[in-house]
Amino acid sequence: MVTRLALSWLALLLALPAAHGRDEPKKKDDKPRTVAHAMYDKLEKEHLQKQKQLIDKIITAKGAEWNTLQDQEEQLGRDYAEKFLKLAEDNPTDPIAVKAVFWCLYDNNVRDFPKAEPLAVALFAKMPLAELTDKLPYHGSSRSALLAAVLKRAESLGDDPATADLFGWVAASRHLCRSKDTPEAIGTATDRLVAHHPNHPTMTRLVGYLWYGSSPAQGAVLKRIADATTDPKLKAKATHGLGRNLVGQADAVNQDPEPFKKLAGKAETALARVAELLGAAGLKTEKGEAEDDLKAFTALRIGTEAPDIAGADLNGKGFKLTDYRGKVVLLDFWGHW
Amino acid sequence: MMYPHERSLVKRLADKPFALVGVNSDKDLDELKTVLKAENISWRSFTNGPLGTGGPISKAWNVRGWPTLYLIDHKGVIRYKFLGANGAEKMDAAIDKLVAEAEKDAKGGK
Repeated sequence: MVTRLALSWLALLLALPAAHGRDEPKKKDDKPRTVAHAMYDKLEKEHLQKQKQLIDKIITAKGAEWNTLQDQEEQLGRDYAEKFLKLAEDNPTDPIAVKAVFWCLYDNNVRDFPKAEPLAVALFAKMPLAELTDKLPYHGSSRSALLAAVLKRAESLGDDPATADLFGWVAASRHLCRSKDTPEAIGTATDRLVAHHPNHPTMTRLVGYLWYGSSPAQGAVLKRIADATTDPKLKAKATHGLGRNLVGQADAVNQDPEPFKKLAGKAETALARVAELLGAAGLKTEKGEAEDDLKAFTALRIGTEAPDIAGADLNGKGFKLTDYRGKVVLLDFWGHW
Repeated sequence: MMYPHERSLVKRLADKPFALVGVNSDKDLDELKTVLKAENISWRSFTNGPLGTGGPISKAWNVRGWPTLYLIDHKGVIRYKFLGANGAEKMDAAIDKLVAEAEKDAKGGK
């Protein structure tokens, strides 16, 4: 519930500056350049007003009313996506078509709008590269047709460093959200990045997106980046991500002694190495974090003695974990949320 | 929520060498107390402090997801770790195994 409301607000906040023409440098006379452009501004303004009215109600709504209003807001987004799409289809060569299609894909507070994909794919192939790079968002989700279109555009340009961000966007996409159906595009994009752009800033961003995952596939990408790059900071960061990823992988199989031992060993090796690399790259804070990760993981391995906890209970009374020695203890990290 | 499983564990093993100990990461303890009552949560919990999920105990124990459960044997050795709310059957089997070990050691008179 909270997330949806937060997203609505985010959409509103993002939409506000755009309505004042942040994207398009305005001419002094402030006249829209084309009829289609004027139509875009009108639609955007209308949607924003209607959305704001709904959000004002959503903030104070409860229970079933809250759900109904949320549905209305999504429906509003879909209705306007239809209008923006028609605008783009009627004016395919006007630069406003790009803006309108991106509105349908990412700004409408609706999760997916597949109807806009055919036109989007056509535009991705020919719109200015810098504009495409700039407009692809690192939020929301993108369906496989769009990933494939971005990949195709990037591949058509050879080893141009300007394409690295496009490959990076595709490679990060599975880890962002729901694009689980596209391993091929992601694999290809990763291959290209590792082979041709191992020190590009987009790699740092990719490592950031991989940071919280613990799947073997994500670990494999981190390892490839760590192996390929010669940038000391990126190498250290990717190795740290790999170490954390391996800790996650080891934890997931902690009840099977053999696989656990193997993964735990790998995790410890990576984390031990990362402190060295971070130190060499002059990243002191991160070095401390890596050492903490290693310490915590080593201290808490299956088969080691549990560190004691001395703390207060929920009434403020002190007690210790070792008070329970002689009993089997199920230590439950929980919260009511 | 796992409360029903936890309640049944505590009840089933009341006379056994077993304890369920929580580390709670709620920030508002007053609000939590109404939950304790409503859900009949009788087992003791450490508080993770005002930082909630960023508190010192979960940090020291390298907890990154909730719930995370560690199963510690009667000698204080970490034997199992469970991530997420699934796998109640596995957890029950592991607990029963360790409780049997504890009882055996207790009879053997150490």
